[in-house]
Amino acid sequence: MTDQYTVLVVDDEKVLRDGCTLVLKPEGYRVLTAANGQEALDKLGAELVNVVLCDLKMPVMGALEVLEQTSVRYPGIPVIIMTGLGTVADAVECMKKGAYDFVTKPFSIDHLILVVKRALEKHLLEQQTRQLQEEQARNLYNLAMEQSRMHTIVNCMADGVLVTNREGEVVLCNSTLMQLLGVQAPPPHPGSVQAYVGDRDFQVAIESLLAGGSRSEARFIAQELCQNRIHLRALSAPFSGPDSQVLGTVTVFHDVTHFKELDEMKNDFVRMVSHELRSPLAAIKQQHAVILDGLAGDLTAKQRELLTRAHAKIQGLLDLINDLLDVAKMEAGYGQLEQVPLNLPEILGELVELLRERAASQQVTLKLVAPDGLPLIQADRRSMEEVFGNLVSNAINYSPDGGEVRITAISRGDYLEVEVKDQGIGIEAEEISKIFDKFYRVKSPKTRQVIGTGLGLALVKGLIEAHRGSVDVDSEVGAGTTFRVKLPTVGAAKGADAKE
Amino acid sequence: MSAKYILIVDDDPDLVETVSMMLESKGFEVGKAYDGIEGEEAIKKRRPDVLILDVMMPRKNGYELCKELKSNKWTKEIPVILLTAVGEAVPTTSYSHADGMSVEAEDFIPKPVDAATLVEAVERLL
Repeated sequence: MTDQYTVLVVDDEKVLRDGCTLVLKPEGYRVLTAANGQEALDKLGAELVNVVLCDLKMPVMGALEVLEQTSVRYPGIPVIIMTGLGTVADAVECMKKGAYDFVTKPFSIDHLILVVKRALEKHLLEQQTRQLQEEQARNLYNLAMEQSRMHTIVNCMADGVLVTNREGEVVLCNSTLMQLLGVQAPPPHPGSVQAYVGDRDFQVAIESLLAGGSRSEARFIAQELCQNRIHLRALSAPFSGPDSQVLGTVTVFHDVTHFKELDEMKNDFVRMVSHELRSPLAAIKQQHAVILDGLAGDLTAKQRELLTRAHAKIQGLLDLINDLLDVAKMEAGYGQLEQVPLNLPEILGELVELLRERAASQQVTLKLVAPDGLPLIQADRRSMEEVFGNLVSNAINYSPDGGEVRITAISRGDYLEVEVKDQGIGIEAEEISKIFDKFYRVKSPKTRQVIGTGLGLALVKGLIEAHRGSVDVDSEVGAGTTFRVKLPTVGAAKGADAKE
Repeated sequence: MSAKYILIVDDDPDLVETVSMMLESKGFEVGKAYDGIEGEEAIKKRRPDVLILDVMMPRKNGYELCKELKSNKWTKEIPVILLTAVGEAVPTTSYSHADGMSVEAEDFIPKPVDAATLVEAVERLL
């Protein structure tokens, strides 16, 4: 121990005081001295003392009185009585009054050192015990407070909370959750997750979090559930002990029913308005077509030019309405997606044939590169036509005269990758992050001629993600843009389903 | 040989008129009806060589009428072209899929339609 401990030697004989000092100092103690009991009490009041060595009989104040005083005022400090042979009985009396030990004079040096050392050890142990007891009381208090605070937080939350232990049994939930789930009486504690949430996907998510082991620190699972017509967004995460073993999971349930209803209303509204707008527009466009075909009499060149431009504007409006309808459909969920094994290069081939004429009218060449034997993908046919129709139409629209749009399909592990590469005007770096946003259109003098809705790419991204695929884009201003779509092949898509 | 008779059934008179003009200009004889029930009666009066049928109509829609015609042995041979409301934004060959309905029609054409597409589709079925 590096700390220096202090011994107070109390004796009316200077020789003994000096002797004790000479013995104890080399042992590393700091030694204070006092000539009688009163002096000793003054020293104790002024300085921190660890052990007291006290002569039994002294003028002014003897050891008995010192003991009485110290046991009241400094209860932790051990007092060792020094006594002559003839007064051992008195020393025993002192022991009864609380002295720690006694030594009979004359004593050996080793004995003195041993007794002081033992007294000090006892003193330190007592101190330690006291500290530990205090600490424990403090911890228990904190724990109780923490628990009560957590209970209050959990019960005050407007979101539902559900906690499981590592066996996947529910150990804590709040009243909000009971209300959201429509559970009347709380199921037995600890109960199974099924007794609370019937959704099988949710049970699987909890099991997978619990099975995740220590690798799952940053993991969480977000999912949407519907129970008794209440839509809930559930965010589940594992929690772990100090050894990073998963000890259980916490899930917070947020009621999103109103958002769902609002969204539904919005989609219904968009659908209704779109249908109502589309029919008359289709009729107007057809009337224009009849006039342009000369079926209603001859046209002057100027009349033809004006009508042709009106025709294009109407087509732009129809495209916008169709995209709005598709977005509404997309947001209403992908329930209608009919995912079947598809030969994507074949669809791309049909698409290229359909668009070749349009491309040629803008002096753009379409080229499809797809080796034989590419894997099938698991996808909805119309979605794929929509995705690549949009990407290729865009590429044509933004290509310069004489440009080439090249569509390349290759197999990449579990994915089929399709690149749509143009030699067009390119996209500025700061625009790239926004092009997949709804209604976003790159504004520049070069794009003014292109009629578009700003919904096409949002739709493309939404559809690809609904197929568990990805889309990214590389672009260089003035050199061209490449869209790269990755879609899981039949085997890969099945494997992913099995894993979840 | 007398002119081929094409019946067009659509609740929008403007569409009926324009489709008629397109077909008449190619020498077809055109009959007009403005909803599914009227269409049914027109077919009873004179069997068309091709039926052009809108989908969304009051009283009886195009899908219903088409299904009835196809399940009746007297009318199931009449070729039907369904005019669908899906736009031209993306060319596609599977409109029947898109609407989640399987209807046995000989062809699907999205509205609006131009003369060349319409006449080609009709001639293919004659």
